[in-house]
Amino acid sequence: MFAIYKKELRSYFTTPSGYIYMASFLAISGFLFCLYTVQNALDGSTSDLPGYYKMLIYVMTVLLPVLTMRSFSEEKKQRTEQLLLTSPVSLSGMVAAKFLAAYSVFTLTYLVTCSYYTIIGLYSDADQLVTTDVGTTMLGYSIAILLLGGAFIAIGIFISSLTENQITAAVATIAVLLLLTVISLLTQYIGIAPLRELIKFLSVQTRFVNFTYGIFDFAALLYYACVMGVFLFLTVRVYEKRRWA
Amino acid sequence: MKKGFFANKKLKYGSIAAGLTAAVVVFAVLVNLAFTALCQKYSWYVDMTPERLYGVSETSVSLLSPLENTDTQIRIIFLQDRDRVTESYYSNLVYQCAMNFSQQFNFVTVDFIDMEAHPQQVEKYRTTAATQLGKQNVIVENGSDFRVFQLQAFFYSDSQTNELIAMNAEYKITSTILQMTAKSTPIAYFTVGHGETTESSSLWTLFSEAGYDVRTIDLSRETVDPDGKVMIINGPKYDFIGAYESDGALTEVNEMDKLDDFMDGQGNVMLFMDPEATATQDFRNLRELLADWGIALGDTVIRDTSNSVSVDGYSLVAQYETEGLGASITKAMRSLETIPKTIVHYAMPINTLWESKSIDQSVRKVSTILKSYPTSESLSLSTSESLGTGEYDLMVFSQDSIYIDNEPHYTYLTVCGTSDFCAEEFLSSSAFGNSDVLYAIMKVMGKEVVPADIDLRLFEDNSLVVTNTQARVWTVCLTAVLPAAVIAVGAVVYVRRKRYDENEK
Repeated sequence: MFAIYKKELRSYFTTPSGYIYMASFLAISGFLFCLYTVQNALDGSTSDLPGYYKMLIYVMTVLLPVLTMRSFSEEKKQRTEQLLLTSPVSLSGMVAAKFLAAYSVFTLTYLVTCSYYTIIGLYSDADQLVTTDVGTTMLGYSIAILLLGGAFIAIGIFISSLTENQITAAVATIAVLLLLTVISLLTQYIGIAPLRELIKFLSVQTRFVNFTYGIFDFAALLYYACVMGVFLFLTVRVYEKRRWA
Repeated sequence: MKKGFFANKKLKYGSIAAGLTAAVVVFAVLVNLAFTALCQKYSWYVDMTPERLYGVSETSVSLLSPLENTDTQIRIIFLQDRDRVTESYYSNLVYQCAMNFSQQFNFVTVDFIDMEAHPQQVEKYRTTAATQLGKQNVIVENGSDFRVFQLQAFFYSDSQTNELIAMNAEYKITSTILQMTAKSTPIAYFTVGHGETTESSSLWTLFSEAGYDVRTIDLSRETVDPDGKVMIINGPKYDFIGAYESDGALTEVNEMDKLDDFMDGQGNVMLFMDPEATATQDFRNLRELLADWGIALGDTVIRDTSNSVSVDGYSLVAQYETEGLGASITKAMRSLETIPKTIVHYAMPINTLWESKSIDQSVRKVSTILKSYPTSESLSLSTSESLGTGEYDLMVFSQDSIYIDNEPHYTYLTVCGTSDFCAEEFLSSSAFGNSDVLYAIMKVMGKEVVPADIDLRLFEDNSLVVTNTQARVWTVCLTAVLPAAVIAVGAVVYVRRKRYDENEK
């Protein structure tokens, strides 16, 4: 499994896809962070970290599929999946290795964005009675974003396993992630409370909103972990079926 | 040999696989549903805010714990569904506060009524035909008694920008519960008939929110209720009626007698006196009362251009007394990291006639609460001529202690040299300590309905102080420099790999 992990990780750093993902993510997140902090300061407003993270989720829905689109699609296209199916590595190990490789790239890129908090540390208004506790805020948001990213990657890997076309995989993943993110917007048109609760239960944005309120929500973290687990399990099931087909 | 559905291996294993998949998905959904419900019910979360916005303080716990295992049933009702309440940051704050109360106290429950879907369920809260109820209202109910609040009532706003800067939901809920469950509601009287400021004042609102039944009283015509605990004389322009007229004739009514009787019955008095009023009126009767309590009104006005929030020097930043009984009023404020400023605007000095005196069976002690800085000067009211410099007492209180059935009983007379101490700009702003001083005095007067130790929960302010250049530099660094570095590394790796592959060929 570790061999597959190393191979996948190396492929992200020896092909353009990893660098394109990292550069795009850093550029967009850097721009958004400056927009919601220093630009707000110039306009006389306070920093809007919740706004930044809400936008970051949308950035993840578009960019994470770039990481996952080739996970299994390329294997299928290159007809190398037979090697995987017949290798001594278990299917779970194979899926986990690919997931971890993509997750490592995502985590590394996200950790670089944590350095943006230097701006808040350097330029906070010391006269204010209550200022942001940078450490706690960053930790809370980071745990949520990392788990959410894991869930998105798991969904992307699952969709990638269903098709041999990378573009199809990417587009379908973006569509599914966007659906999960914006579905809560429908609730304003729904008058039935249980239905609204169900939609909000599924929405990743609604789950994330407690973190923007300053609440470390264990239920949201479990949700993201379960989505991750379920979609990785479904990916294994897809390959189980192919192995025995 | 049995043939049938399970004879086909593909179907058999396919069904097992599908069933297993469905079971896993259903299990994950059920676990999530159950855990989410438990988290909502038992508030399983961590509060990441610096001011601990989501929590109930020890003060509320100690004040409300005696109500546990009694017949008290408090309902906190939101007039929309739970998911709608949690959509907004501010209503979610109030909801979480209410949930914390229901977690902490078994007599508190939180309910939701969708007033649009079930309007008949909220009809009983429309006390008059003109009562407006909206989705943003929150109702605190105790049996047939209830209070209706606007959402804004749970927050504190900046008086200049109207921006919400702090939350006082815990204080609001605790004081409302105490008020609704008190055996008798203490009465705060605002005297009228002498040009005082009453219903329109911020001081009236302060006492009302502290849990008092606030009323006006005309001592020339009305009697004082036995539940009267505080009498506030707020900026009188005319003297109270005593036993005699100015020409020596007996008066038909005697307000001073009623005031004396009130204080003899352990009622407390707060007097806010304006210098301009004393310049035009004698206030002989009030001065006599004050003299009995060791207090005298000054005849000048204090100005301090070195310690003032106004250019003219009349809005004094008061110095807190650090010794004696008066120091206990401001002890909590003085222990804060950032001590709030208390503003005393256009005030006369209050003089202490003696520090301690035995009168009949009681002992009276006079103590300073607020005073001016040594750089202040005393100006003549008529000519504005400086009559001296130094420290002048601005707020003083006199404590009368008497033993009844071997128990000490205290009565307080508080005198301030200006009624502007209670002006809205000073009382409503969390930047000033004026309301803190008044709450502390109320607490000293022994009123448990005033949970004075429940602080406002300030919202964190992550304002940044940056220049245009700094903003531009950081934007370029984060948006372009970092990504460019990554692209450069990627390009180098790509080129080197290509060369390696070519060499291999």
